[in-house]
Amino acid sequence: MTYTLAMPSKGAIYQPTRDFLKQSGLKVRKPNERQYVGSMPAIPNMSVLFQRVVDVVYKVADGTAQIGITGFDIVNEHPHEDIIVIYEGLGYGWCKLVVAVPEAWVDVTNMVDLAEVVLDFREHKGRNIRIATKYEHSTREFLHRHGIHHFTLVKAEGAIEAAPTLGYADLIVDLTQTGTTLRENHLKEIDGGTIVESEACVIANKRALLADPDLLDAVRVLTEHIDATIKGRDYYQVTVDVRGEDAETVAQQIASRDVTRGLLGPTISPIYNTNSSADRRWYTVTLIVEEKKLLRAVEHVRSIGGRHVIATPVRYIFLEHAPTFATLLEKLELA
Amino acid sequence: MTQQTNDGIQAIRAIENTLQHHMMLFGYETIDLPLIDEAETFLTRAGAGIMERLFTFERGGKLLALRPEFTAVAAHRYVQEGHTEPVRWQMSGSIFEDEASDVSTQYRRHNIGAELIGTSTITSDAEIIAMAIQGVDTLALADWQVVVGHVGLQLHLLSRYQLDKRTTRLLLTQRETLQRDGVDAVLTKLNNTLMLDPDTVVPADDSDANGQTQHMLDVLLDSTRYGSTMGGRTRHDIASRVLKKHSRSLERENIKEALTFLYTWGQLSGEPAKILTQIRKLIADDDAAGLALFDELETLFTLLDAYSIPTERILLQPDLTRNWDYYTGVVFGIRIDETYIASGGRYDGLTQLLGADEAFPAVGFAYYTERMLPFMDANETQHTYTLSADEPADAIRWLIALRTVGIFVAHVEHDAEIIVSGDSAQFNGITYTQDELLEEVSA
Repeated sequence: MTYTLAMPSKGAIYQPTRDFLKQSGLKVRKPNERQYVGSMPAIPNMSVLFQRVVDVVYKVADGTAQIGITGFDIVNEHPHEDIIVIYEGLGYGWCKLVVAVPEAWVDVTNMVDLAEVVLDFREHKGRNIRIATKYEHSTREFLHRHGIHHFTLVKAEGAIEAAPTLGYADLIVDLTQTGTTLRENHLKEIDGGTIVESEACVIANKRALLADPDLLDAVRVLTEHIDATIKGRDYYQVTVDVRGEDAETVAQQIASRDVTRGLLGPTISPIYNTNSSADRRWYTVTLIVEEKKLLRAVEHVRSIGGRHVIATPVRYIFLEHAPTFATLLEKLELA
Repeated sequence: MTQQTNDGIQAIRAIENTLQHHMMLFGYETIDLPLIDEAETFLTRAGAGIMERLFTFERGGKLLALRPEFTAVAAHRYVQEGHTEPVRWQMSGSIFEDEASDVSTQYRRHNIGAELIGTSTITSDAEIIAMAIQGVDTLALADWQVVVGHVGLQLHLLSRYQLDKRTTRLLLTQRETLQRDGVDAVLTKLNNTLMLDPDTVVPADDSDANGQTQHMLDVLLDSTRYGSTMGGRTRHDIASRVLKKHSRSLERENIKEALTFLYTWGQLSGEPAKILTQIRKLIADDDAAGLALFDELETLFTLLDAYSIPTERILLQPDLTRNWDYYTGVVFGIRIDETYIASGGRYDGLTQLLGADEAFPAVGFAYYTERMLPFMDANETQHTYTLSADEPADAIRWLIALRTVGIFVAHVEHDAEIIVSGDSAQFNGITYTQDELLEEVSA
C-alpha cells in the first residue's frame, strides 16, 4: 500500500521543510518543479504531495494524505477531529499569531485593557470593535477565552497590518516573526496577546493510523529519523587527547563533572606514539556533550590537561526507542 | 446533536401538549419563532458563558446564530413587527448551544417558553411565575421549589458605591469566590483585572504622575510619535481612558465596601417574610427608589399567595442571577433537588437594545423540557398497544373501536399484545369481548 505525505508546495516553510527532511535522511525527490507529486526513497511506499499549507491540513483531515507537514498556526486555525499532531514544532518556520493594536493606544498594554476598550466601543461608539485577520477561528476562540465577546471580524488576506491605518479595522490579529512590520505600521503587541506560537509541525490522520498497522509502521520509521535529527541538533561529539596513568584514571577525571559524562560515559582509547612515557600515556577521549554545555565541557577537559579538543555537530542520535512514536501510541490508546 | 430516544420524544411531546394547553388558559398565544437570527440579537446582553456556546455561522456577510434561547428572538420579533401593545406569547422547540472547545460536539435542547411583553406591573411578574409553577403542578412533578431574586434591587443597592458598569459586572461574577474565600481574597484576585494597583495604570517605566501626564499630552498633541493610526479611536478617547485607569486605583475603598455588601447580600436566603425583613434593613429610609423596589418584591409574594402558591415552597434568595445579562428586575427559577427545570425574569431594556424606540417592559420564562424527564412518572406517557388478527377486516373493526375511545393502537403482523379472533380477543392471557377489552385498556 502506498501512503501520502503532504507538504507545502511554496511559501516560507517550503524550502526549510525539504532541507529538514533531507537532513533527517528523508530526502524528497521532486521530478520537476511544476509537478505536485514526489517520492521519499527512505520510505519506499511513501509518496509526497505538494500543496498549499492550508490544503495540507484539509488533505490530511479528509484522508487523501495520511501524514502532513505544515505550520502549527494553520492546524490550530482548522481543528478537525481526525487530525492528530505528531510534532508540534520541528524547530523551523517559527512565528507567532498575535493581537496587535495601534501604538497610539497608550492606555492598552494587556488583554484586560483590550477587553475594556471593546466594551467602550460598544457603549460609546455604538458598534463592535473590528478586527482584521485571516485567522478567524483562532481569534474568536482566543478572545472568548479572555472574556471578549463583542467584536466583528473583518476577513482579510495580505497587508493586514495596514487595516487600522486604512480605517477598515481597529486592530489586527496576524503572524509576526520579529515585530518589524508591526512597528513600521505603528502597531504594537500587547501582554498576553500571543494566540499561538507556531513552527512547522507534523500531523496525521488519526482514523487512518488506527485502521492500518503498515501506515503506523511507516510513521514509526519517519519518527525514528526525525527524533534522531532533533535530538542530534542539541549535541556535539567532542574528542580530546588527555594524558594519564591509565584509562581508568582518565575516565574518572573526565566523569568527575556532569557536563562531560556524555550519554552513558566517555569512550577512551590509547594513543600509540613514541613520546609516551611508561607511567603516563596519552588517550583519546570521545564523548557526547549538550551544545549549551559545550564551553564548560571544554574548560573541564582543559583543566585536567586535555589537548587538541575537536567538537563536531552530531547528525543523529538514535535512542532505544523513538520517544515521539511512543507518545503517539499513547495518544492513539494503542500503548 | 443530542438524539432523543423515541420514548423521550413521546414524553417531550406530551409535556409540550400539556403545558401549551396550560398556558393557553392564561391567554398566551402560540407563536413560531425563527431558529436562526442575527448573532447580535443574542450577543446584546448575553452572559459570558452563553456567548462562548453560541452556535454561529456566516451567511451573506452577516454573522448568524442558531437560537440559544427564545427571549431575545421574541423581543426581536416584537420590535421588528412594530408592536406597542402588550402581547402574551408562548413558544416551544429546539435551542442550540455549541461547545467551542470540542468541534465534534454540538447540543440541541428542547425548551417551552412564554413572554409577556408590554406590561410593567408586578402583577405581570406574578402571573408569569404562577403560570410557570402551576404548569409544573399540571405535570404532577413533586418536590419542586421556586427560588426568587431581584436583579434590579441588587443593582440599585450596588449603585451606592458609584462604580462603573464594568466594575459592577465584574464584582457580580465573583459571587462564588466571595462567599467561599471572603472579601480580601476577591480584592487580591481583582487587583490586576481592575488595575487597582497604580503601577498598572501606565507602563511601569512611566508610572509616576509626570509620566502619565506626558502620555496624555503625547496622545493629545503628538501625532508623529505614534503615527496617524488610531484604529477608530480619537485622542480624546485614549486620554480619557488613561485618566479613568488612574482614577480607578483610587476606587479601591469603594470596591471593598461593595464587596462587603455583596457578601452580606449573598448570605440572605430563606423563607420570604424573614428575608424581606433583613433586606429592608439594608435599604436606607430616604432611599425612595430602593424602597419602591422593596415594595414591589413584597407585593409579589402577596400576589403569589393569592395564586395559592404555598409559601413553604418559595425561597427568597435576593442575589439569584441568571445566565443572561438582560434581566433587570425580579428573576426566578424552579428547581427539583438541585436541578433547575425552569427559569426566567423581567427584562425591561432588551427591546430598546434590539432597536425599539423605547424600552418596552417585559417578563418571561422557559421550561427546560429534557431536565423534567427524569422526574416524570414513566406511566404518564401514553402507551401504544399492538394488535393482530387472522382476518384483516376483524383487525380493522377492533382497531376502529379502540381508537374511537382514545386508545393508541397499531396494527402489526406478529407478536401483538392484543390477538383478535372474530368477536373475542386475547390480552394478557385472558379472553375478552370487545366491550370488556375497551373497559380494561381504558382503565
